[in-house]
Amino acid sequence: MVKLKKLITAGALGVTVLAGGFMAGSALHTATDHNDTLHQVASDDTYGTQTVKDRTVLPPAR
Amino acid sequence: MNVGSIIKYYRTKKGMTQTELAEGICSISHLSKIETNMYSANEETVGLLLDKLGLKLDEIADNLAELKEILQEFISSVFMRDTATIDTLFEEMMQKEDYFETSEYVNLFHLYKYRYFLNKADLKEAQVQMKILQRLKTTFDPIESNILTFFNGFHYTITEKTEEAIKALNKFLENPLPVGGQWVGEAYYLLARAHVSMNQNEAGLIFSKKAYDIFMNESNFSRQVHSQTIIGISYMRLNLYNEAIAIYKPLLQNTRMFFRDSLYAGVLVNYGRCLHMSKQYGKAQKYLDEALELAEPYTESHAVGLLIWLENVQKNRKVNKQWHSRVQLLKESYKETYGKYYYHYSTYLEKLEFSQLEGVKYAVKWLYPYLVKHQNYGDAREIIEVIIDYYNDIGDFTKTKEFYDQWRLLIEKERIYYG
Repeated sequence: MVKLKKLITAGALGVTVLAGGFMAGSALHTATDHNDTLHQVASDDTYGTQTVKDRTVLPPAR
Repeated sequence: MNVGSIIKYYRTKKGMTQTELAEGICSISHLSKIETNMYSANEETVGLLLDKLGLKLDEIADNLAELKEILQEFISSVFMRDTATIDTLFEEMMQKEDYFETSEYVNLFHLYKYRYFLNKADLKEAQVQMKILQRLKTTFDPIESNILTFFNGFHYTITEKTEEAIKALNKFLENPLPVGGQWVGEAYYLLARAHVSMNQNEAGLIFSKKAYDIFMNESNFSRQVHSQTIIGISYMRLNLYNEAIAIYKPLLQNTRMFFRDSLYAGVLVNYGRCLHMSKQYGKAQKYLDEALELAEPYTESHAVGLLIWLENVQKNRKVNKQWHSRVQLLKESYKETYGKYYYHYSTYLEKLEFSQLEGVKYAVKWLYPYLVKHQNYGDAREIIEVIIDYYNDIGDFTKTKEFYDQWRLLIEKERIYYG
């Protein structure tokens, strides 16, 4: 949960940078979309709560 | 059955005093001893007391059976990852809290509460619950003690104390108590996950296969898919690419159909990495592109996907404007969440793009020490191999030897199974 909170904080700060990057990439997201997504991510029990390990995405512990 | 506690529970619930209940049946001090289970009353006295409370012994037995059922359903929902049911049952447990407290299931009730808070990643409440369990510990039977060991293993897992988690989970598995298949499967799964996160991939493979077999028997589809993901990662890291690809194919299909919003992007990233490692850069590109389209920003899948995408494009010699903008994106966007991991990696790739010497210099000074410090041993091993190759190529054999010795230490770590 602590990490998710950090995740959300990071989201709030980094939206502009990411939005720029996405426009450069194939998916086009708006800043509002990002915020909505962040809340969804925080409420879902998916990935995102773990420390990155060796460039693979581990399945959830919970 | 602790009849005394039940009598006390219902007497208090009905607002009766001990004097009122005992009147005409037994002395107050006698009732007091019965209620605290200090004294085992004869059947007649118990019958009279229950009559006065409007209760029947078989009804009480039914109520106790109900409590047992709630606990069983709760833990089963935890293992099946049925989030909505977990919450409903927890609410039901809390409504019956004082009844649980008086029953023989009091320890199990508190153990499962602990597991609930861990499931919610509510570490503050979990700590409070741990203190309650410390107090109750002296009354635990061997099964309850073992359950606590297991839940502590889970606690270590979610707080990323991987080595402690491995110790606790092994201790749980040493004790062959009849706790049921799901428990053992879950312990194997968590062990597999812990070993893989320590880059101990053979152990990861062994335990994830054991977990998979159990989850298949228990029809736990969600955990089957999780175990398969770890099997795929283990094969890939052991350079058994054909085995890994054979696992990833059905896994991609299953996650696309049933876990599109949760697991699919991560599996695409892992598969992309597997193809990248087996030097199929063009094919890897396709899967990594799809992963980046699907992964939600700020998730681990997105960050790892971006990193592998960058590496893949670089290896495939297709670096362009988009590559440079994505390097900046990765460098800046994940610092808050994942520390400097992505910062160091993207800077390394950027320097490497400039020249091999610049890349290696950055790896030696920043990236490699960071990876070792944060126990990213798999990454560290790959980076150190790049460093060794470089020093070997330029004929600096002192440096080659120095890093080769460190490489050997990393290999040693990979082969450790049990704490």
